[in-house]
Order: sequence, then C-alpha cells, then structure tokens
Amino acid sequence: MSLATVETSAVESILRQVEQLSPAAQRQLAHLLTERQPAPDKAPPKQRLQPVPMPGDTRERQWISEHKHEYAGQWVALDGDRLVAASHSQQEVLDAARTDGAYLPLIARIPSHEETAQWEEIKRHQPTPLPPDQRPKPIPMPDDKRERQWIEEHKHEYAGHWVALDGDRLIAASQSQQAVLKSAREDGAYLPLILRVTSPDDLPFMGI
Amino acid sequence: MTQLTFAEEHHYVEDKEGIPLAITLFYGGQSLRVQAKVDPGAGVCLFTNEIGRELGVPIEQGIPIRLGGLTGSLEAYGHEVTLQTGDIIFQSFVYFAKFPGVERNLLGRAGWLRKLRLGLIDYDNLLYLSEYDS
Repeated sequence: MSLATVETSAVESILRQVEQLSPAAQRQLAHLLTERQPAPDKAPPKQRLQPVPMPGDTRERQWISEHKHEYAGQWVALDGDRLVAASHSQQEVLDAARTDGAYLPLIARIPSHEETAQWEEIKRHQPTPLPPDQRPKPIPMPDDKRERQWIEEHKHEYAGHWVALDGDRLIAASQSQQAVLKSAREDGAYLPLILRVTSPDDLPFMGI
Repeated sequence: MTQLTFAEEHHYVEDKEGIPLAITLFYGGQSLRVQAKVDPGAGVCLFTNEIGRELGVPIEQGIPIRLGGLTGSLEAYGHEVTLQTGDIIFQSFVYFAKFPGVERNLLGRAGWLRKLRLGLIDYDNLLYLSEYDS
C-alpha cells in the first residue's frame, strides 16, 4: 500500500469521526487546524516564479481617458490603444479577446456616467485641507500594543463579540455594540478601543 | 527606484477580515477610539450607526448615499468629522450607516486614503503613514 493510499484512508476515517461531532466542535476543530498551519515561508529567490513580459499600460490608460464617455458602463478589451472589443457583457469581451489572439490584452470595465458622477460628488464633499499651521493638533493616542496583545490572547474567547479595551483591561464585551459603547462611557477610561473580535465563523470580507 | 519615507509605523493584528487600525473620531466635543479596516477598495469611509449615535451625530440629517458592494448595498449618511490616525489629524467627510448592525468600520479613499501616503507590508503586518503633503 502506498503512502498516498494510507494517508487518503486515514483522512477518510478522520472525516467520518468529524461528522459525528457537534457543529460547534467542528468549528473549533477547523479553527485549531487553521491555527496549526505553518505560516507560508517566503520562497527563496531561485524558487520564485519568473515573471512573463507584461505589456506597459500607458497606451491603454490613455485610451480609457480619451474614450471613457463613449464606453461608460461597458467592458472593454484593449491591445495598447487598439480596441479589441466592447460590450456590457464581460463574457462577450473575453470571447472576442480570445478570438482576436492579442498578447495579454487589458480587460477592464469603464465606470458608468452615474458611478463617475457619484465619485465626483463624494470628492466634492471633502473639506478643503487646511494649511499645516492651521490644522488641529493631534491629541495623545494610547499605544495599542497591549490591546493588540489582548486580542491575540482572547480572540477565541470573545470571537464575534464587540469589546471595549483600556490597554489590556477588558471594560465590556457583548454581542451588542451599543451595550459596549454604553459600558465604555460609564467606565470613563481615556479613549478605550472599541472593536469587534473576528469570529472563525465570519466569511472573509469582500466589501459591503 | 523611488524611495518613500513615512512619519509613522503601525503594527496590526493578523485578521482575515482585513487590516485593522485604531483611529479616533471627534464630533461636537465627543471622541471615540475605534478599530477600522483599511480598505483601498472602498470609495468612502464608513462607520457603524452605533458609533455615530455615541458621538452625537444626527445621522439622518447628513448627505444620503447608497453604497454598493459585491453582494449588496446599504444606506448611509455623510457628515464632517475630525479623524486622527496615530499623530495625523484632519477634517474628513465620512459616512455612518443608516441602521445598526454593521459589523465593521471602513477607511476608504475619500476621507482617509487620499489625505495620506500609505506603505504596506502585509506579510509583516506593518503599515506606514504620512500626511499626503508632509
């Protein structure tokens, strides 16, 4: 029996045992296994992948700048300043680029008129920066070293909870952020840190 | 080769949810130090409804916005606050969620990133900051 076969058999046996565990125990096990994984080492230079020649994107950026109104909201494939394809369907653009055969064409989406207008509006609301001598002076911010240490040590215990920390002193912990904010206010500590401890059940964050 | 220098170095906790940074928000004489996630992919800065209320921000009197993401959207209102990161402090226009229950604060481009120079070595959990015009 090969080593691979033995390992596969062992894994299947372990998986059968894991299936007997409660959902909570399964999550705990998954978390422990994740924790035990060694950090990926940086590959020594000789083992690193060799980069392929990447076309510079100067001409593509220039093209987008000149044609962004014409193709607003569309996907485009660009080979330098040559438009290979444009469509509201990314799949159509990918298909056209493959058929065209250009070397590493740039696939990009041009923001719609509405998106561009909203971004301009967002920027317009930002206050004009004050000259350096008129800016407010920063207040003393507590060093967060002890808080970071506390999080490392207690992240399993308080996973998914909001906490208020004054250095390594836990002021409050709750599923309710509002309750934690109230406790922190009543405690009176100087600028306690309010945060939510990430839970192993949280999906990796990919935006709103 | 371009060389950059920074005024501040921040260590951050390894977190699958992003790059956490402690910042302080000031509004109307109130201040609150909270953790927020550095998010260059976010167009704006977003804070929870609870934080806004704790600071005394009249959230729904602000400039309304609907923020879109990969999987959905949420409503928020914009207000001018003062924001301090380390020893860097500036006026900023940020957004507060309309409803409670948002689980993270975001430091996006408008209101934070565009006011700074940022260096990042995520492998070492290190983030470097300077004011944009320092």
